[in-house]
Amino acid sequence: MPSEVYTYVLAGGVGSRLSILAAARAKPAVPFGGKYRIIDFTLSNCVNSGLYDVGVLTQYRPLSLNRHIGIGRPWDLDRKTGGVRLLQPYLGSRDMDWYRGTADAVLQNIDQIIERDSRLAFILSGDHIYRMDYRKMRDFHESSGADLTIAVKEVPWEDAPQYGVMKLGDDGRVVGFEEKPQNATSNLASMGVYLFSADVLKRALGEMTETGGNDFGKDVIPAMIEDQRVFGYVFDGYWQDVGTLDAYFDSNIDLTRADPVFQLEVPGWKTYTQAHDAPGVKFDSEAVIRSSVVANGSIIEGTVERSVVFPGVHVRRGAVVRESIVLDECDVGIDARVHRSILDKRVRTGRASVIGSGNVDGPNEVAPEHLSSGLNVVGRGCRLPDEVVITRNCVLFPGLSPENFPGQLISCGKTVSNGHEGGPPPHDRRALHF
Amino acid sequence: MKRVGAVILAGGKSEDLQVLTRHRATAALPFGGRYRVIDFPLSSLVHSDITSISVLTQYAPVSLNNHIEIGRPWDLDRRDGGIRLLQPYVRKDGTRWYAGTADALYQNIDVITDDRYRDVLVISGDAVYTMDFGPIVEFHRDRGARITLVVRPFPKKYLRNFGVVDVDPGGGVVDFMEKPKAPRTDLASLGIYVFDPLYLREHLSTSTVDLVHDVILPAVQREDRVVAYRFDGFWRDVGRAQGYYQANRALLDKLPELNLYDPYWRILTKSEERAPVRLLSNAVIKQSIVANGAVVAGEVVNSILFPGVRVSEGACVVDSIVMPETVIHEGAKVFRAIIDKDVSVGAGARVGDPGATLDQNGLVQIGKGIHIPDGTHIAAGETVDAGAYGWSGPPGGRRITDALGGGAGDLHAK
Repeated sequence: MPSEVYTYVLAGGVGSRLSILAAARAKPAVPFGGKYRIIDFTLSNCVNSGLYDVGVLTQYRPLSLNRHIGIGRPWDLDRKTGGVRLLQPYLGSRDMDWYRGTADAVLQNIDQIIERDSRLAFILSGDHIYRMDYRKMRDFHESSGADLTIAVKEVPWEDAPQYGVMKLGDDGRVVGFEEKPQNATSNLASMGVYLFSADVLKRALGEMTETGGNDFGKDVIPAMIEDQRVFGYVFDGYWQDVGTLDAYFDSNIDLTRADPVFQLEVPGWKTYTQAHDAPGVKFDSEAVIRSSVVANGSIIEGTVERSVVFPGVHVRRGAVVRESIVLDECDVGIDARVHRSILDKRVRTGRASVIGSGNVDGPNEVAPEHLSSGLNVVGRGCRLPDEVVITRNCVLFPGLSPENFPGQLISCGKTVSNGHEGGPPPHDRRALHF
Repeated sequence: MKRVGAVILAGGKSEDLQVLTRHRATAALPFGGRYRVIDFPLSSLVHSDITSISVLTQYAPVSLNNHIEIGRPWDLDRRDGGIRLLQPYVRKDGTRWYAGTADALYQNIDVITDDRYRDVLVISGDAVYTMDFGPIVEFHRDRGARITLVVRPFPKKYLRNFGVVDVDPGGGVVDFMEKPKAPRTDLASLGIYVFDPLYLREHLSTSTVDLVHDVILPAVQREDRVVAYRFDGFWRDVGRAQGYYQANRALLDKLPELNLYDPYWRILTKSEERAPVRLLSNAVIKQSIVANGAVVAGEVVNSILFPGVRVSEGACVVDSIVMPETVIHEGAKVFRAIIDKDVSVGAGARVGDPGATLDQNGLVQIGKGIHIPDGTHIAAGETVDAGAYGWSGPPGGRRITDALGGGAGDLHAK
């Protein structure tokens, strides 16, 4: 079935800096904003921009994404023409196995645009929180006669070294590209949003195989800048990579402000997600709640401040949750206190336990580079002992039960595990760093 | 439950909930923060594994059609069975509205008594209840009954609104008294029946109008094996303002009789995608249910807020039910009111009275799309409605200022 524009969403990201939040799920499947998952923002951008023919490239821990996206109903992507397909690695004619990079992933699924005789191909990262009308970018692409258009966003100069940075000429043409430069000469970061003319994409990927590359950022784009018409499309809205624990935490907590930088709901631009059949939030007569975002199905009997609470959470009487992110179906026990912590799904805190107390006294022992700002991360399904005290920069592995705890005090920077699976993802070659 | 065909009677229009049912059937009334009344019987059927369902509608069917569509939220978009809405239609011998419940069944008798069904379950769509129909149909089959009535005990003062049933020790119905002045038992019929399909076919005709008068009563008199199944669970009539209000309020109890949060008996509904509830820095919320999409900056006590409701800074909502997309502006006070969708309560306005009674003399009802001007006072017990405009009213509803010739101030609606 012909389709003029085809969209690839790269959803294989590992999110290794998100610690145990991304241990059992791909980064795009990490929950965000009280009821969404990160990929919902990109998928909603697609349907709100009229892109209805979408392939989601998954690889790392695809189960949670498969379950979340299914046949695409919430996004109106269960269609006879177009719709959403999950594209996982498959065994093919050459000794092809896992996707070896972003460009390799698209190459292995290049049939999608050949079959459809597509003229344009969007390639989008499923890792970011933003609201963008891709139609405007397409208009820019067509009117500038580009072969490739890359969306760029101005970032603070000091952050530029974390990104692929573009230098634009006066006409908007990309004249320079540096991947994570030490001394950046531009602060326009690539957003991981590309629009290719389909023929150009096919040719560029063909050439890439000859030089042995796998990646858009490292291989394909640098090779194109010289002799192809590569343009930068400057986007000035909110765009956030929530790939680190601190960024993830801050962007969630920002939603609780009276005037958040990013509004979850704006007129005419919905963010769609897999719906939960839950009743409204129930507030008890003793509830104290302010500056928070709370999803349906939760029951609040205690105090919640500056926090994001996902569906089905129970905050029991006397419990206090401050500056925290509490994922689906957690049970915050009677008189428990949670401060600057992230609780993954179905955590039971126990009675009068304390998660997040005292001063920060050194980073996490296992991942000091990822966790030093004082946050705690409690893994999915953990059951904490009553009255336990978790201080700062602690990581509790998924599925712990009370007997796995070494004592009633978990001191700063400790990681508690039960020796089973569920730790930080291994850095193996199958993990794609989009 | 295999081989059961269900029929939901959803044609009802309530008399004293007028304002809320002007545009919708009672079954389509919003309830409990994000549901509609019919979601409760529908979810009960689905949880009882009864998935061949006909909904008989007549009054304002659009509201129900829009809600049910092809039945996706209830998993009723099926190859076999599923859900269908049966409205009166034009036939060779002319058009006829449904003259009553029995007539509605008669006009659709071929659909309802399809020979795939061993039993026909006829239930009310105008009440809020959660009921497992499995044991009821079992009971009907075990007794070899022609008709099974579901009955429930009620305090005496409520019985005069019901059909009251006298039962022998074996469960056989020996007497059925419609709205008796001096009831002999405390068992009321809930308008939920299991029929033997052949018996139903035989006893419906062009001259049967009402199911109770023209089918059930004669059957009891003829001693046609009519039995009663006693149900003791949650059941509330919501056809009157007070009952509707109280049934909603009952959800706010600490341990409510109807637990919406039971993961094994979720009430299923069609839902619109909305962001989570936002509570701003001065928000105060006590003993309330607030649905996704609502934004609260002010105070909410003992109330139910539907999706998209906004309570602005300095405003308060007490003892009230506020339906989707209604905005309570800065400093407005709302007490003991039922406010329909898309209403705007202007800044500093005052609706109702905190000391008012909780019956129709004290409750305020405000109709869909009404704009209440800043500073207006609406006294306890008032009803404010777009009235004569009805269906063809101006988009967004008539503004009260227009109705009053532009004046604000104390408002005495009809």
